[in-house]
Amino acid sequence: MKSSISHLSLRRLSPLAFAIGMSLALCISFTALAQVGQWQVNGFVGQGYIAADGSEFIVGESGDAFDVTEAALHLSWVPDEHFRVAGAARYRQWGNLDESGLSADYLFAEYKFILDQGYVGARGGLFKSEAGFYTSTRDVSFTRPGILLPQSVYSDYLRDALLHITGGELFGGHPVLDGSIEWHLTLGDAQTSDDLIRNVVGSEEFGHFDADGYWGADLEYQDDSLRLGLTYFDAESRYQSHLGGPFGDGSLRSKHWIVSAQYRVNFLEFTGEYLHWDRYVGGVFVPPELGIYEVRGYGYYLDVRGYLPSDVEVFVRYDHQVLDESDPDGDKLVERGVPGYFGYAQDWTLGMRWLPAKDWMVAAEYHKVRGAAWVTPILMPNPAVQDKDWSLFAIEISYKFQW
Amino acid sequence: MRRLSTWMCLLGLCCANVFAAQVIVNASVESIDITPKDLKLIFAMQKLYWPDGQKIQVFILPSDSPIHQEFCYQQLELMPYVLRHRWDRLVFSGVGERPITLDSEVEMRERVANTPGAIGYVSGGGEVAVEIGVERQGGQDEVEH
Repeated sequence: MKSSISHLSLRRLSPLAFAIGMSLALCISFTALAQVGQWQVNGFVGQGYIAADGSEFIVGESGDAFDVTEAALHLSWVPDEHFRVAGAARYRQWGNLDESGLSADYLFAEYKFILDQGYVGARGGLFKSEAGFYTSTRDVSFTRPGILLPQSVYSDYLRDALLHITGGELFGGHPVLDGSIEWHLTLGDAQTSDDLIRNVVGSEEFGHFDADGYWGADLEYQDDSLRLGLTYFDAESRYQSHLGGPFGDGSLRSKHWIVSAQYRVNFLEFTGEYLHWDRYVGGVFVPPELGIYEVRGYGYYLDVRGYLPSDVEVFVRYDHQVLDESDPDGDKLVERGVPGYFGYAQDWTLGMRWLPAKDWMVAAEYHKVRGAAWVTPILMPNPAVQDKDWSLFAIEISYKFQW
Repeated sequence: MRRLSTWMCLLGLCCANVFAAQVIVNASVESIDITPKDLKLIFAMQKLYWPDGQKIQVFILPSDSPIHQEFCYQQLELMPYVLRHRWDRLVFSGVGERPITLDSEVEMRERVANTPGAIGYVSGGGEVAVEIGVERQGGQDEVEH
């Protein structure tokens, strides 16, 4: 246990030092260059409480968790019309899904070319993926549609693998019809982490992932009442097992499509997103004689929310994920001795958000779930601690600030 | 009940007049033929440059101020939360900036007059944007387009 802690600390030291160094460097740069450009500082902090009944998802053995904390400091410097540098440091702990740690959220430079209609640009460094409506801001309570994102499309177990990209991207924005279109073409590597290992295979002592290429494209149209999005990405990683681990060396490749739509009319907002994936697994849990194991799955959610007077928001959401589209009821899992409900998840959520002041937010939600497709660890399901029907309650208070 | 509704409607109209917003832009902007669509894109931070290539600098008043609320509802035909969500998304994903929030209309006039490419709003009833510059701020020397 001791060796595991020291190992973890060392693994976190690098991003911690990077984040602090980055923040200091940016602050010094901003202070020195404030006279020749424009800079902005934004941040937020949130503290939550989560309790679950019939599951250890997020909360672990105790059944509830107070170690649900998130905070970030975002800096942006714009010296002229074309050039921009942005960076952010983030602190996050999310029960047993994300152990406490400070890390770099993004750090990139970008250059925009002005067109008659809009702009195009290039960006390089560490930046956020724009997959779907919420990936790029999934860690910020004010920009999520709830305390927990709809897990069918934004599964927390894959968060680390799909959130940050190191590489470059081309992007653009153009006025179209009554709104505008934004697009990104991205090439680089996704990130891996100890949290990812633990949430997928059960323990960071079993092995580790190395990113092995990522490319993606996304397109989004937005006007007053309508928002439409289309995302495709292809991410690869390699798995290296440690001595004594339950899985072998191998590779994983995921191809994801996300179709997104949101429509707003008066005080009502309707949102739906559909994710379809092809995953190719070689090795890991697949015997070598079987070659590459291919599995296709999907997830979608429908969210209806009302914006009431006094800055109160209420919503109801249905969220559905199937891990293997050829086995929606998990019958193949039963043949392997795993209960079928680990093959799907249906989550009904009722929630509210209230802004008692313009920079404060209180959110609460209740989940009634059947199935456990996205309950961690994904490759080591444990029916002894995970029921077919279970529930989860979450509450969070958040504050944001700006200079 | 019917009488109450009528009075509330009249009260709403009175309030709308008291807090009606007037768009102002810096004198450096060559063409301020701003359509309602442009105005929405500019304040949603979706349109970043003027036609002459100059970067647009957006100023707003505090989101809980009556003028901001009136500006969102009447000029942009958007509920304030819609804009707030867009700005938060830009800022926290790192890909953009939010508008700069100013404390008062006096500061709004001063900052718009002194910042090339700036746009903002103050109380007033005009439907077209008004240009203001350093030597013309104060109201009587404003030029309507």
